[in-house]
Amino acid sequence: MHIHRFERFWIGVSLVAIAIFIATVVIGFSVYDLRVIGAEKTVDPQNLQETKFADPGVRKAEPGSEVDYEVYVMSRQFMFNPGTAEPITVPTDAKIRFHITSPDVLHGFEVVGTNLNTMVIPGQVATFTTRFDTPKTYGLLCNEYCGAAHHVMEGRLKVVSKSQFNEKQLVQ
Amino acid sequence: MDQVPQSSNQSDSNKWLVRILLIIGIGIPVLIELFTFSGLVSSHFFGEAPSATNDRRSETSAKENIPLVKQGDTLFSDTDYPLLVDTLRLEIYPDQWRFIMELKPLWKPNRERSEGVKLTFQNLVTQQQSLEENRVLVWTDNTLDEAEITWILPTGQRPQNAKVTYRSTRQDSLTGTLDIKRHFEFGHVPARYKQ
Amino acid sequence: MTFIDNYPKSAKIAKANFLVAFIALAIGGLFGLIQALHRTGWARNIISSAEYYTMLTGHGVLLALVFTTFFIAGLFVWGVTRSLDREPENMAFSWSWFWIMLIGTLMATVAILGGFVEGSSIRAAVLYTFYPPMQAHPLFYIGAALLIIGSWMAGADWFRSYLAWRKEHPDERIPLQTYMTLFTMLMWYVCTVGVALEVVVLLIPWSLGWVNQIDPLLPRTLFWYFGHAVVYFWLLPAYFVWYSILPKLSGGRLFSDSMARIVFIIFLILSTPVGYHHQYADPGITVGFKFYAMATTLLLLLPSLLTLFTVVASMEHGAKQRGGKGYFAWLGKLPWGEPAFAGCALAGIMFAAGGFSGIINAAMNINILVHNTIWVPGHFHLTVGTAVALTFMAISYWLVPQLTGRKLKNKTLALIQPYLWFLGMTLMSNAMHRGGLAGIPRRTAEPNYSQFDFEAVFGTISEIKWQIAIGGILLTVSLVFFLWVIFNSWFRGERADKPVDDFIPAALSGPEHAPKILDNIKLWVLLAIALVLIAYSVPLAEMVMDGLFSPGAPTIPV
Repeated sequence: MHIHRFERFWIGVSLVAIAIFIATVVIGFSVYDLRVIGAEKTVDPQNLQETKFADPGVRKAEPGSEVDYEVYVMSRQFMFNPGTAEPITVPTDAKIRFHITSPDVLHGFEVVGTNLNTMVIPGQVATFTTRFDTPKTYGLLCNEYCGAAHHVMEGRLKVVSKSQFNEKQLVQ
Repeated sequence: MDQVPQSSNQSDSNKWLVRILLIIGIGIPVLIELFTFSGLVSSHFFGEAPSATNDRRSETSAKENIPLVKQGDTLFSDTDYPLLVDTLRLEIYPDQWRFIMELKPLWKPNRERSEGVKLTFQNLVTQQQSLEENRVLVWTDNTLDEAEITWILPTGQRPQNAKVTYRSTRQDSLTGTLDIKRHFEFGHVPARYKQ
Repeated sequence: MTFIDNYPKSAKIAKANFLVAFIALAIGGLFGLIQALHRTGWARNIISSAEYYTMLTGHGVLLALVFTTFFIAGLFVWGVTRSLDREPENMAFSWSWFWIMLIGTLMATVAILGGFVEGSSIRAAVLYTFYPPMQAHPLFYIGAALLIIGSWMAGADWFRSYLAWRKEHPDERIPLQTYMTLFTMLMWYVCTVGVALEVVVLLIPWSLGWVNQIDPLLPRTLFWYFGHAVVYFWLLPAYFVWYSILPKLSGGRLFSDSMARIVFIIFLILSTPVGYHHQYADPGITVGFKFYAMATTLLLLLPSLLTLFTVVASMEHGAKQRGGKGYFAWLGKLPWGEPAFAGCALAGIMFAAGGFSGIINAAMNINILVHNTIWVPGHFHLTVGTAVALTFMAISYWLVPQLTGRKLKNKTLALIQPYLWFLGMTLMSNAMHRGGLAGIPRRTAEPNYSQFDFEAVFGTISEIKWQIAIGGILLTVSLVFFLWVIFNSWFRGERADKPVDDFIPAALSGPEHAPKILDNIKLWVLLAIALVLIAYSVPLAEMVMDGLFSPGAPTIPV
């Protein structure tokens, strides 16, 4: 087959570019710990009252856990619990693991201005770990269409400094 | 064999039109993209430094300190007869959205001083329309009863604000009736799906 | 003599398909304008925010599924007929697939438009991705299934023509246009298996109430098994135009026939196993499979970069035939005053921009920053909304005269149209990408929240909204120009024996230089199936093993 020498050169450049793009993602993954969500566990969306989602909120992690706090968030048409009626409040400088699920339809969980962004799928638990360095209040919104009032689904995530964080508000 | 190029003797006016189209149709997009690129580059190098690993994008400030009526608020706290917003919610039905507000007196007023209070909603403004209907709540017999107002809104409509008149009648020597006109702004009203 | 004189039966069915496509384009485009004005807050009183989602469903279905599928069917009827020099084997069969597709489209459209009727129980505000457990009326799913079944039959029709031709020409290479048609349809068969299983096995029984719960992840995964390959189903016909017609329009010949074939093979084998890149943010799919999809997705850059080379080389050849010189000066010699050429060339330029934002989307962990933000529609309005749609519109200026035997009218409007589209789309898409960086979500009637504000990386949010609204208005004006020109030419154009120059010259490096293995259809199909099995067999088995409808979520009607 005849391939023009310019075209061969172009194919080479293209393959190098593709390799660089893949390497960028791999380096982000391994060096900067920029990960994506994976498969954790499934739940029965019609029987969440038997799980920790029945009493959602911020909890102190079990002793010996690799994280400091666990946050259970129930996303439902059209509110985050917690998040909408009262902000999700977490301290700075602590490892925080989020667990998010939905009893009804698909939702999104986006902490505006960050890379905390996940799908919320009934039957699946979205789990990710993060930490915050500075106190700040973030907006929280649903970014997957979830019904006629989808655009009403919003909330706040409040990061307070470790010293001001009141552990009495935690879910026991 | 090679095709003969298509008609190359375009009229002068067409030539000018093509020039103008190329300048506007491609020139402006190129300018927009250059502006965007320089904006992104300068905000990256000269903007605020990113603070945390998970906080790489532009920051978003949460709205605070805006006096909005929320669930749990106390209204008319400057009077003898303050009212607590017990519930504020939007119920989403397939064919209508209902805005529900439940109010109750914060404490039992002193009977000597107050005879009761009458709260009149003169209207309710949503994004697209204003519902001009008077809705009245009255507390007279010094109970702590909760009173509820429900507005039936067309689907897709959310409450924005309302004009309210608060009238309390005082029995003591100071004054007869106290009239206050207020403008309620509703911020985010939590919504729930109902079937 | 032009197409309609040589192949009157094919011309008739191609015209019928184009007619449906243009009606869908008109309605879907109008919906798009109303959405742009509603979202940006320029006009919130045309529809209510609840109706916005019905309109958004109509916009997506009518443009991304109906306009594209019917236009592609018309284009392929034209391409297969002229490149094999034979009309369909059996016209009754050809008309039957057209009618099945049309009936399916009407059913789905009725279900969607029912959402505008107060109190109607026929509703389908589920958007064009129709993720359960949000449930539309059964008409919607049945209509969608019929549209796909009709498209399968259309593909069978073209294979039938090919086999009949093969009998008479046992030793010839497959003509390029037929080759591209067949490979596009093979890819379509591989990928539509997913959505057909989703709709027929899961969604139709569920929407009819035979089962009362649904596992949301399984249908979503099946949808995306189809959902990325479908974008190549839109794009490959645009490539068909760029490879087989655009070189001629620029006054030259295709640079390399074999490269065109290789590109279509790569799309056949890699288009489907990339579906997880729409599910990077999904819980329930392991990171390893997401990674495999990412590598495959980025490899798909290769055929598009090859296309860039071949198409630009062909255009340079054309320009040099017209007297162009130098490294870049030849660009000025291209026929920028011809609407069909200008539209295809502008669409190609914009596709390059769409490719760049696509690389961001494909890069798994960077994608999370823009997942489900308005960045994503910003991206696909460059690709399907311009690279594909503008190519289709531009080539209509060249095809409709051949199909009707009438000359193009309103040539000045036709010339302004692609430039206006390019300008409008730059404004709208640039602003959507920037809005996405600020975190503004997609698919939202009112991206205004009461508890927080968005902050643009630079500039302001209100300026971004202005750009979107003005861009949307310019696009609508451009669309009206297009529809007016086509309507006028189709029904009032001057009859002519040769309304356009429809001769397509042979490639510079023709099929005689292409290895025979490129035409080995069975080999490439088997390879495609093998790669799909690697990507999908394990995750799908895991999702099915715990019960087809479990973990089951309750049904939520829209």
